[in-house]
Amino acid sequence: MKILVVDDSRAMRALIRRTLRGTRYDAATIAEAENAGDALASIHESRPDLVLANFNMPGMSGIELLERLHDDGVDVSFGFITSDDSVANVERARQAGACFVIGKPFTRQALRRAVNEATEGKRNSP
Amino acid sequence: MSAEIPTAKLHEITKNVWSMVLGFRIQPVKFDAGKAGSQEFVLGKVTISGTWQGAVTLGCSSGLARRAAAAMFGKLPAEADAGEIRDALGELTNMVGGNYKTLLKGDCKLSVPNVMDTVPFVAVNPAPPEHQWFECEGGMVLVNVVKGPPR
Repeated sequence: MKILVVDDSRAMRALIRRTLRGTRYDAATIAEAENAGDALASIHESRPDLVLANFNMPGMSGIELLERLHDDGVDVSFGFITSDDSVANVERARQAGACFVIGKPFTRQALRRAVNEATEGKRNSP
Repeated sequence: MSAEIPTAKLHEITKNVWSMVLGFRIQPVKFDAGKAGSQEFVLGKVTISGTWQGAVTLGCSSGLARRAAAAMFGKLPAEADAGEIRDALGELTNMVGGNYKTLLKGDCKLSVPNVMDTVPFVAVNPAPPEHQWFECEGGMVLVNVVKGPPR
């Protein structure tokens, strides 16, 4: 299992990484990107099973990253973790094909549950 | 403070962010110029543009900012460096500002956070009494919502 965490905040990336510790993802490879441009290159190169991205970042936003991946024909499970989980942003994320949108601050349980559901298909696939 | 969003809501957002992210208890307090005057602050700011225009600022006394960064990075306070403290304060500001924005009506856009560190109390802008004040872990937190175009 490969997970890519995309957030311009190093503190938030550390927090997400720690939240997934002690779960079934202990053995997962968790990579990080501090912006959507680096994430795009990383996704093309390493094809993660799940991308956890911030919505609002300098330069390309998280939603623009997801839309760009669609344009490039890349199919990857994608979830947003954002402080701005407004109705408009959630709707736009859903339309772009995001598996989930979690608001910051999040509980440990909420993030783990969302990640479990998003990766369930991957774990069960042959 | 925005006329549309009650102060109690801003208190609730701030408390939620502090408890859920850091595990710290935070309590609203009355502004105390004597206590604040001896402190330096790390100040974060996000702007909101669109049908509502303004900014949300979050300030944290330096020692508390270091402890907050340590909690977010999972290390000891003495190990948190200046970059980590700025990053942590920026993210806390982003969460308070983002949560506030979700309560606003209409189409608005949230900026990425901007952080200034070691700001003496006298240089906190706008004037400190306008902020909502909190005590946390022996340190001080100030939150403010400024309505109007960016200054």
